[in-house]
Amino acid sequence: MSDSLGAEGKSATRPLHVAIIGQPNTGKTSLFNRLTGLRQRVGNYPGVTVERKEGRTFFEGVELICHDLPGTYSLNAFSPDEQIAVNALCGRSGIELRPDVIVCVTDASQLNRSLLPAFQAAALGIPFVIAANFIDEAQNKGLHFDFAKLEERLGVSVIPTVGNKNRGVLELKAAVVQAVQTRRLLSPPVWPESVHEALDLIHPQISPEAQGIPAEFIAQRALFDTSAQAIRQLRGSEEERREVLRQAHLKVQAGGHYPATAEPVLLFAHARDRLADCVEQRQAGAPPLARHLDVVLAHPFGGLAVFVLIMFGVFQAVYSWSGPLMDAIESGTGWTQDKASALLSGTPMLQSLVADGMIAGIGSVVVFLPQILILTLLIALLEDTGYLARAAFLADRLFSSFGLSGKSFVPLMSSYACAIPGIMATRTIEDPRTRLTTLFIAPLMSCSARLPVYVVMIGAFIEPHYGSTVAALTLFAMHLLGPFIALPLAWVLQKLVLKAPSPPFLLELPPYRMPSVRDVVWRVGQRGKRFLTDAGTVIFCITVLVWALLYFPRPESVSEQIRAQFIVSQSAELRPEIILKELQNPDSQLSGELKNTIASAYLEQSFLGRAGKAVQPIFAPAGFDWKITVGVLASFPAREVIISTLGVIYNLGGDQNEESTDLRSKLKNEVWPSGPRAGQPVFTVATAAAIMVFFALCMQCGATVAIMKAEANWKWAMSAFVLMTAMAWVGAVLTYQVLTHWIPL
Amino acid sequence: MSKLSSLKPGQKAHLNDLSQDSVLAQRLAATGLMPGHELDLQHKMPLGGPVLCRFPSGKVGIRRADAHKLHVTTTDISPSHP
Repeated sequence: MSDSLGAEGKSATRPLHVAIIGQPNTGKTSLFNRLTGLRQRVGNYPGVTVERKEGRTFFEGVELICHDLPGTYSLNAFSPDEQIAVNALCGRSGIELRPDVIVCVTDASQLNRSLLPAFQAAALGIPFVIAANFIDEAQNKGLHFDFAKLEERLGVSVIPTVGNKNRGVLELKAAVVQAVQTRRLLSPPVWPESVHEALDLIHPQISPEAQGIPAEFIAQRALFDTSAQAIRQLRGSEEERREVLRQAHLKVQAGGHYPATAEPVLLFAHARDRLADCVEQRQAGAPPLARHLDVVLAHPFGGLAVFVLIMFGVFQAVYSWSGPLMDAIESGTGWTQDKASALLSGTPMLQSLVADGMIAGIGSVVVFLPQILILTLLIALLEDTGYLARAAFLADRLFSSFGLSGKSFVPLMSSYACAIPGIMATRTIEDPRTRLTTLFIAPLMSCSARLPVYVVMIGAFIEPHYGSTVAALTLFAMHLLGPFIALPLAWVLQKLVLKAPSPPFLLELPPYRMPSVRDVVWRVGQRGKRFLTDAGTVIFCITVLVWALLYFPRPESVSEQIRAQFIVSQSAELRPEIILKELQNPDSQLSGELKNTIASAYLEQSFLGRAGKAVQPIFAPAGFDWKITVGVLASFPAREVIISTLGVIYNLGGDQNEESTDLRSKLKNEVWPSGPRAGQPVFTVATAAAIMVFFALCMQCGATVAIMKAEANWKWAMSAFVLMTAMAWVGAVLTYQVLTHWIPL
Repeated sequence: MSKLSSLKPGQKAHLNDLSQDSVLAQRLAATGLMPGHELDLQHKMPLGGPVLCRFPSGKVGIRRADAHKLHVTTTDISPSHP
């Protein structure tokens, strides 16, 4: 691949592709964010960049297209995540052609170690720039850098940066453009004779049609990375290739190195020797305050205690901080509804569509924005400080007895915000068996879209009876239900479906760092934006559809028939002329009652009402009436829909005299119209609990099914869907029956 | 010579060789823990849980079964300076 760019100074004609590589926790993604302004998830957990991200920026008229690749300890790809990075460097995925320049982000305090992927990539023959990130941390530790000498030794620019404080970013851009113009390559590492001999054995086996990847790179990968795709680029049969590699490994061994670790050991020694006099420990340096945190936070017992406290604190905060904000949004919704109703009073159908359908539906979803933002904020803070990696370490013992590993912790924890990023984060798990199990159970973690259901049910039926402490505990318990079911399920999956020995488990604990306000705020903003976009599109459409299915058909005859029946039923107590006179006055009590009776009659004979009534017997053992059944059915595409659906149902269903307009009080006032429990409230503590359990266990999310199919396969996604739906039904029935018959509440 | 898993919390040691398990060895080396490096065991989780090792270029949690495969040479335990 020849490029004649730069030499003539015409580089402005074509954008440059910049691949950003680096080990986990070097602040790579944060630096990428500052480079491009387009920002995405940044984490202090090893390997949080689960996808290749792209962003654009300009430097003196040159367009730079930056690709943020997943963090890799080395180019030996152990996890799917690392494989993505290696493929991108070789031009095998996404990036058209190979990158024009590679930026390797290193942790300045650990320069020798974090140069490993850079030295491995040197053989690609692509212009290079090194970013010595977190330079402030390194200097505080008393390290002194001689950058002129560093550049001389490495052959490329070494730019001191502090990504999360926006330092050195402009210099980095300049260096990137300059590196392409002057084609500055990283000085290749010096190998011992035995490695050269081994590489010489491999070279004749490399196919000439290796897509423009330099033969030296392929030879090195084949020699050092026994699992890599590079082996497939060798010529000959499987046996011939193996034999060549065996001979090559013998050469390496003869030189006194273990083939498996020769590369990192030699490169580390190379870096240490070559950079020895470029980095100096001048003074002792102040030890970072956070250095001793692990004495407590990773302590076998103290650490677990703190962990439980932190988790409880998170849910307590989500529940209590959001109260005032929710009240404000709720009254805003009510006010808007009133105004819209008054404005459209001339056209009853439009009035109903706007007030009962659109505003009630959207309002009842948007009201949960505060909780979702608070939960996302707290998880982001825990992640960016580095605490979640400690939690993963603490959780490993528990998880490993169920066939998972500590690395399953972060994907599962993220699933509490939303299962989609959680499932994508499973790519950081090297072992395919653990990865498949983790992504199978991830949707059982209670995502923030379930919060609305819990909050409505707890707020209406638990808190008034048992107080706010029990309410918070119930909320906490609902979030524990997921892992309580998921862990044994994982164990069964491992035993029955996926059998294989477990690979080694290593988990790096990154240094504690102060989260960057900008990065955290951005993530919270993104989550909120997505929630509102969903509320504005999918939920809006489903809401309008649900409204229509509940509003139509609407024959006049129903209203007349109900009116006649109503007059007959009232005539036992009142004389007919009084009834008629009362009904003339639209504000009388009798008119109100008639209006409600007509409204609920229309609701029952609507399309969705009939469907709900037909399906209701299936859910009857869980205590669901047909209205709840409609809600459950409508929320299979997206579970948030339940609240807006109930909002529409109860708004259409009348209760016009009710002063309070919020959903909670409407639920409390709902009674069984007929049957053995006629007149009794539909919603008891048992019903509320059954609904919560159903929503906790059911996979009512089309997006999750789709992402599971993408990350695993159809069979896996459908099995999870069927199993979770079945568990949800069983769980709801059990909850309702036990609470109704055995535990008087 | 003893095994990493048999160290007590606070004890220091040098990592010997990594030849026992090549995948474990490669991954340890990639995180910067190589033969000859000094490390100290910070915590040992109960019930056979993972061990937490500190070494010059980082900190890593290793599952007990894997720590069992790693040979180390203990260095004198002297009261270290804070």
